Amino acid sequence: MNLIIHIFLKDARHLWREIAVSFALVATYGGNVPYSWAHPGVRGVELSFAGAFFGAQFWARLLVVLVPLAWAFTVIRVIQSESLVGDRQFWVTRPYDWRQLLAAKLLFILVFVNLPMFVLDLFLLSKADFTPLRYLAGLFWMQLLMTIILLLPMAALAAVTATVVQLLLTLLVIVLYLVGSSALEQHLPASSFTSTDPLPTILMIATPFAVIALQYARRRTAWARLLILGLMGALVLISVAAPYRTLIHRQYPPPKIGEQSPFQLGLGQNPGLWQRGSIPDPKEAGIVLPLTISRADPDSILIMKGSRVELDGPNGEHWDAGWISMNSINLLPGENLFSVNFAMPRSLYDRLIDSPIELRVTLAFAYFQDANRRKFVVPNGTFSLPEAGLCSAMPIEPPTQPGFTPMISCLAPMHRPTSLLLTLKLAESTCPLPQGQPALPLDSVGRGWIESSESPAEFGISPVSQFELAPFTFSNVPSYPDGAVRPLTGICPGTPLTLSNPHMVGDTQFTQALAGFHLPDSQKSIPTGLSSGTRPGFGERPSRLSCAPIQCESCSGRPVPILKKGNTIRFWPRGELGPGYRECVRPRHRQVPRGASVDRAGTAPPCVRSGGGYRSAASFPIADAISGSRPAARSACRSGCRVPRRPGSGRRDARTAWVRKGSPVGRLRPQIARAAVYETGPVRAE
Amino acid sequence: MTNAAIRTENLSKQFKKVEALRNLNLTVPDGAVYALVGPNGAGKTTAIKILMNIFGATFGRAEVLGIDSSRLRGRLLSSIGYVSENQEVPDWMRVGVFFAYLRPFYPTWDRDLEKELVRQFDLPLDRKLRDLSRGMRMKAALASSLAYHPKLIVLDEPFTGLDPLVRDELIQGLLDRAEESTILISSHDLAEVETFASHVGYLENGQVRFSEELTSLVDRFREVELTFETPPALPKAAPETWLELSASAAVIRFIESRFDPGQTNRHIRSVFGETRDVTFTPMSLRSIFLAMAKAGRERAETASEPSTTSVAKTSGGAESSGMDGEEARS
Repeated sequence: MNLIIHIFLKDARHLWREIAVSFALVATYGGNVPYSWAHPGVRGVELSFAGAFFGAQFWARLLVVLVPLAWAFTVIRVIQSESLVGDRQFWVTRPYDWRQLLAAKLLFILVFVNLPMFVLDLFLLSKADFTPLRYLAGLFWMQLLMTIILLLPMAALAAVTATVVQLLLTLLVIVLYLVGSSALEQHLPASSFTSTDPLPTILMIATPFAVIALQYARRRTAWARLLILGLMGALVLISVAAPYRTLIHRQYPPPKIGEQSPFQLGLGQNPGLWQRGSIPDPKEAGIVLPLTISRADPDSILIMKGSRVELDGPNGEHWDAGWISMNSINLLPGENLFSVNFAMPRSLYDRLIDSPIELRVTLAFAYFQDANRRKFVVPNGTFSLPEAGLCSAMPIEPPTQPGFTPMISCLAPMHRPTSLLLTLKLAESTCPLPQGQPALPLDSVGRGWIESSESPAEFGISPVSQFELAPFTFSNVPSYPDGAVRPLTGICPGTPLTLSNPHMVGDTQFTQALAGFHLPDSQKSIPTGLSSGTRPGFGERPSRLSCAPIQCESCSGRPVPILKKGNTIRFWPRGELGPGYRECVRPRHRQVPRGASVDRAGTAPPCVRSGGGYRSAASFPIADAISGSRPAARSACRSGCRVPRRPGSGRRDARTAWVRKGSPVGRLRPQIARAAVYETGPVRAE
Repeated sequence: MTNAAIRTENLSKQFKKVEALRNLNLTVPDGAVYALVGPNGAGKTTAIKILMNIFGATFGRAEVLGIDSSRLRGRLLSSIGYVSENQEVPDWMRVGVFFAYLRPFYPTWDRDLEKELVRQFDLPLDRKLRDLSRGMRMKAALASSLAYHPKLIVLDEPFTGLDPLVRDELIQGLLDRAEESTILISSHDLAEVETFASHVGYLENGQVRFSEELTSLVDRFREVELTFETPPALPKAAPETWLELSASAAVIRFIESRFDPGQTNRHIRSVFGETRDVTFTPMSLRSIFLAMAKAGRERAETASEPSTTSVAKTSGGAESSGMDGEEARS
């Protein structure tokens, strides 16, 4: 024990700078978080790492990344201070016992990483008016997650590298590996909604342990590195060789034979076409299949995970699209419409285009049943909301920001509510209506759902989760007559709400045959390119509004609606692209993959009769990203009108001309490539 | 296995395609000051690193203080001191802190000896190791390896790049403690080694060419100068123990690597007949080393020729004492 302390003290003396920086960052973070609670409009720091870079106060959000980075760096430095790689280290010929050395390193990490995090968490909990001792289990869970997800892999990498530079290069290789893996997974759509656990998780946890033990006990660096390479190979192998159909069948069991399914599928109107990527594949035809689902319990929530479409032609043709991910589309009560997209062989498409075919659609989804419904009137000031934490109804700063909805801001200990559904009759809202807004009808309803894992705590460095309760989806909401941008009504003190806790009934799959389906005609169906709306890395949506119809003025003169309803407006942080830039995202049930073109199911594009010029613009990824925006639509329209499609060269020519002419797309290309952005346009509620 | 601080048996080490050690058989007697010499790339450092369990052997085994070297770790290292020319020390530490840090690891650490070594080596306790000159750093490393009365001291090229004064100080420091320890030292500095080594082993191409007491080695090598009445022709066949045979006018010179007055004279008479004068001159270790190195190089060149038999093969099983390699070949 003496030697453990002795080595520990040596490391503490050696790494005092790293320790000091880490403490300073923790202290700054600890000071910043309560500030962000007091100023919810700032929202300085979130629990989640993802999207941390996109915030009003960049430096404050940076702390969410910097603090774990400082911890990781400290771990790397302490492990490498007695490097396990090489044959020149003085300590390998000194009477170090590897167990004592390892114990000293663990003690160091415990004291200078885990303990500060624990103290920080206790401080934040008490600052948020929670009793820290009630959440010890969650706090230890957070420590465990941080150790397994961040510290342990870093320690393993430090154990097989001699210097920080070597480690950074190794991390670069791992990043490239992850990029390659995710590219590979795009060819395995089922892998995104099917879990091959527990094997990968066990391997990912066991390998760092094995690497560290092997290095400390034997210093067999080559073997340890092989273990890491083996893990990387095994994970790829598992994802490639996993029997996804069996796994899906096990994870999403179908109803028992003879059991009445509580769901009923129906064909939506106007199926459309889409294409994968910017260059059309002549060998495939992309189909957008709008569907409606009705359920026996209208208050249930469905999270659509995956779909599988099988076709049966009149001449015995059979084709199976296989399982395709649906990116967890949420269908809240009142939402029934969604679409399934698949790509089929062009030759089969051409054979079946004129014949009615039978579709067999299988959906894999999670099914939630509403429960514990109760009325709740929002009090003044701060109030305790069971299962949500401490909340208050307060205006979001700045209050004049168009499009924001008054809502409830909450602080929850350890994690957000496991499942909390909020239903608001908009007419009952006590928030003052914006000037000029007509009174909302009695049946207009807004809903918001928050869910999180049931684990004792979420992964992160703060045990206090800040989130907003607000209606995110609306039904029976009329449009503004003038199409102006105005906030909807929201939640203010005195507003009566209906709260409930939908509980998960289970994962299931459901198959239904749909006869008499006609494939959409590519000559009649006009691709437009509304993109899938949800992109990772952006902050939570503060409100959800509808985009008003945009008219194509330079074409036939016939007003053509670009966006119909239900699109989500996401505000970009000021300073990123300037105020007023917003992202228009289609609601989940209307999302189609990037590059998709949808006709009346989503959009009736402009320049329908322009000879196909717009197609080339629509097939361009950037155009996909921004389609629906006023300037882009106009630009695309102009381009389409001026550059009609010429056989054999239309697409590329039109695209090049369009960008070269300095269209808004061309000018905004760098930004737009990152996300769908458009300038503030007419937005109104329906 | 008795009375040997270090013993290796057919120790081999392969680095990918490079065979660094080939069936190394080496015995370092207890209490000896054993100098392991050899040209660059002979395998000295590799052998020492295997002995210290820094590397694992590809084949064969080694015992250090009666313990299998592959098990040498932790407490077992508390009676061994190891200093290497390119060892990475915690250079952020001050010299005094370095000693203080090492102290608890060694139950036999002698504070008085530490102070004595600090005084003897004139070590600045308040300076960081990174700020020390190479010589001072080497002295600090040696002092930190002597202060606990190790039974075995292993030094890998400790004198490389040091000025003569520092070398003297290091050697003196070593000699002062030579009685209580076995010392294994690999070095190129043959003049220094000759002044204090009791045994010497010559390593070449990963094999021991000879390993014996220094006095017996020096007795065994002689520069021989033969003077004739008329210039003689170089003999077509000469004993393999004669190295660097050369003729100059009426004088023939060579190095006898297995000198025995009677035997050598008989060989001279049988090869040359009568000579006017015969002179035997004792050789320094450096001269012996150079002669051996040159002979080794010639053997390697001969071995690389397709028609000749590999020297390595003929001498592969050479024992670790005497001129076994040469004898095997002859």
